[in-house]
Formats: sequence, C-alpha cells, structure tokens
Amino acid sequence: MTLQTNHWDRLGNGGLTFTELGLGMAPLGNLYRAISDEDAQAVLTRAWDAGVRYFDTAPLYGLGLSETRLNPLLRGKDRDSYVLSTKVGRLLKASTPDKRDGLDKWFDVPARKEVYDYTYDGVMRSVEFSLERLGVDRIDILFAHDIDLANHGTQEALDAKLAELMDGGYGALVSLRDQGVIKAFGAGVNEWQPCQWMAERGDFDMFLLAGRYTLLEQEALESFLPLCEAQGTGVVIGGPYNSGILATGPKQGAHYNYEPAPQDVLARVGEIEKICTRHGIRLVDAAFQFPLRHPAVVSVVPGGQGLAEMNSNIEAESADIPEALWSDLKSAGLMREDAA
Amino acid sequence: MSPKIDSHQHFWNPARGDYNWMPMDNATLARAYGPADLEPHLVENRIEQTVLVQAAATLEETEYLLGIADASPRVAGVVGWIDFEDYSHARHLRRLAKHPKFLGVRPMIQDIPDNDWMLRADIAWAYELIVECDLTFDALGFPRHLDNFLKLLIRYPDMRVVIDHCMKPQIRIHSSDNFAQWACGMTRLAEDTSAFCKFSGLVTEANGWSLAAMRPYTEHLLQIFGPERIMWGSDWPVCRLKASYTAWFEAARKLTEHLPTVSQESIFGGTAQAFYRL
Repeated sequence: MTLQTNHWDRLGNGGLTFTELGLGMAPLGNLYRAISDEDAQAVLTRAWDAGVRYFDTAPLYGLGLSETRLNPLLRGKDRDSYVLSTKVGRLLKASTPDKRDGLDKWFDVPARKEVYDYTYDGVMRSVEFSLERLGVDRIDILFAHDIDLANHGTQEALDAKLAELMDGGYGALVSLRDQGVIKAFGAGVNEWQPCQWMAERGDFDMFLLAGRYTLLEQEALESFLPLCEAQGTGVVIGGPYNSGILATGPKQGAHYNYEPAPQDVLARVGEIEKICTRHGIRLVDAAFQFPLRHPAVVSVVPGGQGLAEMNSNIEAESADIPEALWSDLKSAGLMREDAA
Repeated sequence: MSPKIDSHQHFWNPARGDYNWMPMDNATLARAYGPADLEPHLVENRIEQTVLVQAAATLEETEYLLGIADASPRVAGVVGWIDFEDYSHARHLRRLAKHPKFLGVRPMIQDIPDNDWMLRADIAWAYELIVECDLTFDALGFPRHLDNFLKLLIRYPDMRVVIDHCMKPQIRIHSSDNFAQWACGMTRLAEDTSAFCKFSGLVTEANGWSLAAMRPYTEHLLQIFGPERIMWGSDWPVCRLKASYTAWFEAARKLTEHLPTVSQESIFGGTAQAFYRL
C-alpha cells in the first residue's frame, strides 16, 4: 500500500519524505494502560503494512519502552525507507520500582526516573541512549521535548530551560546536523508560543505541535504557522483528535486535552460531526485531514493502542472529502476563515 | 477429567492474633479451623484439592498458611498477602514466589475504607511485580469497587486476575437497581478484561438463602463469563455463617445442573486448575 507523502527540504540536504499518516508512539509506551508486547507489535506491523513510514517516539514514552518496542519493527528494514524522530531534553535514570516516575501515567514500564536536561552533554547522551534502545545507527529528526509552560510550570522556569537549550543543547543539535548525523531538529511541545520563540531565535527545521492545530483549535494561525510557512519550517501535528474527542465524537466519557470533555466542547464537536455526516464522511476523517491542508504541515501523527484505532486512521487518510465540507464548516463558524 | 477443586477456603487460628476483621464474639467464626476440620467435608463431596486463601493482612499469616500447605497434600496452593504500601515487601514477594505452592496475593480491599486505594500510584509497583513474577491476583471487594477494578484491570491486561465471591452482590437487599449496577459492572469486567470469577460467597450475601434468590446472579455470571472462566469455591468456614460446606456445594450443583457435563467439570475443577496452574 502507498500513502500520500510530503517531501520536505529546507536546507537542500536531500530532505525527508514523510507519509501524511505517521505513527505517534506515546500510547505504545503503555500510556494510561499496559498493553502486551504482542499487541504493540501487531499495531506496528499493521501500520507498516499499510504504508506508514514516519514514526515519532521519545525516551519519555513508557520511560524507554516506546523506543524499545520500535526496535524489532525497524530491525532489518531499509534505513532509507522510513523517517524516524525522537526527542531530547530528558535523561532516564535507573530507579527502584516504587520510586520511579510516571506511576499514574505509564503502566508496567521500566523503573526509571526522568531528569530534564537541555544542555549540550545532556542532548548528546540522550541521543546515544535512544540509538541503543531503537537499535538503529541514525535518527532523522531530534525534537527538544516538552519545553513548554505546561511542563515547567512558570514562565520563569520555562525561560530558564529555553536559555539552557539555546546555550547548550542547541549547539549539540546544530553540530549533529552539520555532521550529517541527523537531517533536522526542532522542538516537540504542546504549545505554539515557545515554538514561535525558538523559530524567531534559532535555525530550527521543524516543530512537532501536539493538539494545537486541529478542528477544535486554530490559534496557531495567528502568527506561528504563517512564520513556519515563510521560513520553510516543517510542522508535524500530534494529537489531531485533542485526546480522543475528535475520533470518538461527543460521546459520554470522551476526552479533550487529557481530561473528560466539558459541555461546550461536546456541543461544538456535535455541530462539526453533523456537517461531516451531511457530507457522508466521518468526523475522524475530517479531523485527520484538516491539519494537512496547511502548506507547512508535513505529517499528522495520531497514536493508538489497538488495531481498531490504527485501521480507523488508515481509513481517514484515504477518505475522499469534498471541498464543500470545509466551506460549510467555515460558514457555520466552526472553523477559522483563514484556515487552509 | 480434571480433579474436583475447591478454589477458595480458609484455615485460621484466632490465637495467632492478626485477624483484625474477625468478630471475636462470633462463635462460628472465632474458633480454630484446620485441615482436620475440613477433611470430612472434602471426603463427603469427593473434592480432591483446595486453594487456601489468606485471611489476615500480615506476612506471618502467609508463612503460616504455606507451612500448613507443606504438610497437607490436599492444599494445592496458597493465595497469600504482602503489604502493597511497603516497597520492602517486593523482596518478600520474590521470595514467596519460589515456594512451589505459592500462587499469588490478595490485598484485603474490602476492608480498606478508601475505594480508590487500589489505583494509588505508590502501590503500582506491586501490580507490576505480580505480572513480572507471573503470579495471580484475587480481587476482593464490593459492588462499589466495580468501576475501579475495571480501570485497574485495563491498566494491567497481563495480570492473572480472579474476582472473589462474585464481587459480593447485595442479594439480601435485592432490588432491580442493585442488581443492574452489579450486573452491568460485572459484564464490563467480563467483556473488557480477561478476569476469571469465583462462584463463591453467594450464600453469605443472601439472607435465608434460597436457590431462587441466587439463580439470577448465577445465570448472569454464566452468561457473561462462561463456565471456562468460573470456578466454584466454598469460602469455608465463612460459609458456615449461613450454610454447611455440603449445603452450599449441593446448592451450587443444583444451580449449574442444567449445564453440559463438560461445563460442570470446568466450574468444579477445570477452571481453577487452569487459572492457578495447579
């Protein structure tokens, strides 16, 4: 099978070819529930067989488990046939099982602690560990992970981390790119504001923005996405369903940005779904394809723990969506006028 | 044909002093029960093996039960206890796991006031260790714990779990609401997890128990779990509060007599043998 692709080459170094459907590997790191290695491999195999050739993981996901699970899939595959991104900015340290981090987030995972480290050495060491867990000899893209307000608490703390990155890790990333060890680097965060800050100050190639350019949230159009478009910066969209609600619809128990969805969001999603139904497509089809309409977006990376979710994403990628859907959403006031 | 197995019985000696739940003024419960007390009932009902389950929240009691099991060929295995709130017990679980008759653990969740205790982050290590050591987990609670057990079991799909006493449905205050809440929660556990269920404890939860009162509960369990995931247990000597060992055994027989022989063999032996790997 072949999926739609986008070729991205900002630097003239050959660039990277992304499948529009990528795979976000947080759920396969046993996020919120454990899944067996067999079930995880089944999802990965299904993705590969369907033509998915872009995989995004991180040391944090399952405290190493996500990268470890990607290892058997990638073993024996032609290294030039897929694009691989992981993150830097956290080192994992051994721990006893009762003191490990993420006890209420990652289940049945290695006993490790996460330590923020955006310094030069921290980045270099993180890459070494990732290469080891992934079992590959190179990584295409490194994203500075979670360098945002949600993770660092206050603007002062975030500013300190941004300074740590620009004074330290940034140099490591530039050096790795200069040597051809990686093709590109950027940041992977849940907020567009720090991305814009970085894009204005450094030579960043790409950003992985989670949850902030979706059918429900388009504030990134104000300034960040136009800046990316102007600079040739690539954007990968994570969390295209805002934690599930844009995949499940406004059902009881639907999640929005990691929490149970509030009433007004349920109502808004209900309105969007009605228009999708009128055009004979599923809500998830529109939610998946929406970000890809923006010229800066190279790939969308939903995640999932089961084959049903994987199959639904594959179906969404090839769904035939009439242009009228987008204009109807706009005239109903459910989508920004300046959205592509 | 698999041997007939009682998947849930206790031995205790109140003089050991760690049965905090035991009402000392209850003459039926507050006395010593050992293998010699159970033996005639096993002979009478042709039951060959039993699973001995903890009744005190101490490591010492688990050691005591393993001692009895060592000396009792009838006891096929022991479900013990470790302190989930004390990580130093991880090494005890690893040590206990090496005993040939140690099967798994049962925290006494029904006695813990906080319904959300089982989901606490600081005890997650225990579930992970149970999975790692390939041990079993006996889920002991009430219908008010159903939602949390579902959440817990979904988090750990590789944990081998059996629900004790059908999650103690409130047969004695039967109402359509109570039944529906229990039935709905049990259905989700049966459908969304791989948990097994012990067909035990129903006489204790019924008032002046009758086959008619227990039948709808039994039928629901059979329908959602199927005989391959249901194992009969006496819950002796607790069952003596309401029924003799033989009376409950015969009631359980009658409640399942309409099933094919092979299904009855599962419920009265095969399922326990497969689940606990006896």
